[in-house]
Amino acid sequence: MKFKLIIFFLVILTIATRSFRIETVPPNLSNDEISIAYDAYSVSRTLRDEHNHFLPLSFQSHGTYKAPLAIYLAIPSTIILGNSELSVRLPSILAGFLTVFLLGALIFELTKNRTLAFLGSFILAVTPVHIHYSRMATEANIALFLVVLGLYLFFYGLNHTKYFATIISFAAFGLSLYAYHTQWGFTPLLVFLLLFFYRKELLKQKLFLIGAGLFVLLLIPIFVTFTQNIGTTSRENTQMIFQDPFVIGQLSNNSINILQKFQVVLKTFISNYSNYNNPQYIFFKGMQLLGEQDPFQVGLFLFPFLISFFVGLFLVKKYFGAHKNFIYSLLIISPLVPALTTGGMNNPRNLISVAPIILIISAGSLFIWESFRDNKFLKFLKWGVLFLISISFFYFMVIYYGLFPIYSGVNYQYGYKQIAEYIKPNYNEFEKIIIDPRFGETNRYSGVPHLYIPYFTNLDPNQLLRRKDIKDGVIFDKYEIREINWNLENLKPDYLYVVPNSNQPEKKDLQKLLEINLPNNQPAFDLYTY
Amino acid sequence: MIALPIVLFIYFWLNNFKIREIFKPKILLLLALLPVPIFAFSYQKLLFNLFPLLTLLFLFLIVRFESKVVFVFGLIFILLAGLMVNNGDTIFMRSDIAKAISQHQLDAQFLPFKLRPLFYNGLIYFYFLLGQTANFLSLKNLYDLLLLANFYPLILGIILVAKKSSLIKYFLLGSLAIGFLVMGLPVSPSSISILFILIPVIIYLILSSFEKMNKKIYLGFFLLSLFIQLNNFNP
Repeated sequence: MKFKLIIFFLVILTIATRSFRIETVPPNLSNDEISIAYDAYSVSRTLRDEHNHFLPLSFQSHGTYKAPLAIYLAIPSTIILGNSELSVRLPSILAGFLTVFLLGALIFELTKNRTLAFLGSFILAVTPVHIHYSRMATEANIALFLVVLGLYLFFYGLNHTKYFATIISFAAFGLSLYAYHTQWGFTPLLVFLLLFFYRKELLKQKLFLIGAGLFVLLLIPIFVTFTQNIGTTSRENTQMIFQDPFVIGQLSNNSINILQKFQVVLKTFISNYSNYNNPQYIFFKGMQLLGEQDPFQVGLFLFPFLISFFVGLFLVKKYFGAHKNFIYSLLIISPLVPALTTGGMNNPRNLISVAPIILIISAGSLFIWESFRDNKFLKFLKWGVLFLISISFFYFMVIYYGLFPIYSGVNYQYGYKQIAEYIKPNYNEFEKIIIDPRFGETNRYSGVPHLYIPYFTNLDPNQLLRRKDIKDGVIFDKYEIREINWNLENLKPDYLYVVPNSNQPEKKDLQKLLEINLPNNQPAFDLYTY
Repeated sequence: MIALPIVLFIYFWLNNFKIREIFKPKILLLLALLPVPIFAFSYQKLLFNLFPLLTLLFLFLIVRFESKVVFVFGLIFILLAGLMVNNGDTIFMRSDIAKAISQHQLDAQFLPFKLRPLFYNGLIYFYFLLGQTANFLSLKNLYDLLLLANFYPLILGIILVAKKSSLIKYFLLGSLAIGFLVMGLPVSPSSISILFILIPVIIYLILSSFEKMNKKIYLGFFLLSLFIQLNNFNP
């Protein structure tokens, strides 16, 4: 009965945190999400992506390429639910929900400790970074689910002599390569570790070779795509550490020798690796939900678990026994691939670290909890600790559901959906719709209205496939996406002009139809007609 | 330069002051401690440079006499010394934090007015302090101060000491905890100035693990540390 109550509580908590106000928190589909959403919509109707490629294995997006799985997974929900935030985010929500319970199941397979398993699931259920990326269409979250699924099936197969499960685990690992590009570096390393640490158990049953073969088979299309994209703007080529401006400068410096150049790369890598392991980033600031200098930041994990993490580091052997070397290795390799990339701290790239960190936090938390049980004073203190965890979680909820959507409108290109909602019923009134893609203060960002508007107006995807690229813009259907310079613009009646608020026309004969504000009431876009 | 005599004293202390220890090959491992960046640090004020010696004195007295009084005074000394060496502005004087509190109280319109100070108040200073303290524990910070090589014996030393049941365990771990917390107080934290006071604690932990540690691994890390530190390419 107690077991069922705990499961029920966990289910409610997980569903609630990952679906409450899903359409407004985050406040809009992000740059990456709209790319996934539109491609899912386009493929569902035409079998072609935005760039007219037939059922691609790699989707061209914002100058680089995306892994395909998140897009293909969004197709059924797009067909059933239509174009909305929920339809594109649903696969990630489901993946996040299942990961919570899979991680608990994995811990149980590793330790046979039910309490530890529940603790692991609970901690993941309240982990800010996992909540956030489960609520967004995040490739990394789907990759995390597949990796945890693979690990669970692997150990379940070994423990119960169900080698079929172990074989399927390799399929899950292989699929994770299709979910997110970071897995191209991480998953082969993970598979190597599993084969190394558990070679004795695996070699007892030759059937596992089928699993390994399956994994290699799934690698082939990825490898082919990679070789085809070498030298292009594919993500794996543009995001690596060798593209870092500092590194490029040093590597092209002829006054330093090759050993020193190697030092440059090594130091950059170590610095990045250290940043991803920085306890301040993990427990206090990593989420960056508010402005960078804002002291009310939240970490990737709730800060009271900092102590559990450091205690847990020394207790892996106590709770995980023979698996300790694998757990430590998993912790070490998780941030390796993100550390090899450039562009600053990137939480999705490092999302895979959630798994080993939760394993360690669970061990530390259980040890502390059991220690408190044996001492009268500490027994009292444990309720204080529980109170602190509850407060910090509640505080995260206030920041996340309250302040974050207010402050982050610009970062999520808020306003384009509202523009689409205006255009949809008034579409036939305009001969042409010209949209200036700039936004933000001083117009420093360039948005992707050519994806948001067709998506939210349900424009026939064939229109975008027939688009015409112009200098600094694109034309499709009755849309022109380009910068508007009021001094040079040839104004015409029955044209709709959509501009960022900072691009105010001086001409007084333009009629403002609508003003769209950000969630913090700052003006974002204006719609005019002549 | 004060680090060298402290290293030698602790080394011989841990080996029961046996002179013949000079002739054992393992003394060469002490050479690996020489290039540790923090050991080359010194304060401008002469008095502050004596603080590590006082820490060493407290450490010695606690081990020798197992006195709780000495233990308490030792921790108080670490706290006060840490506050003295960082005598600049503390985070409690940061105006941007105060501004953020009032701004969030204004923006949190989803909360009833009377509840807003409950969530956005001065407790954020302590949260910020903990965050700054946690920042010190980053890998880069630790290897910049101690070299990557000494991270291994330090962790091993902490594990070995944690298994003991004597007062020394609490002093060593307590002084590290206090030192880390004090490190988070200044507006511009200078981890090296606090850690300098704790040199005897760090050396004690490192040298405690010398018998148990894998010398080959340590040597490998040491060579890697030297290789990393040889040039000033700072990304």
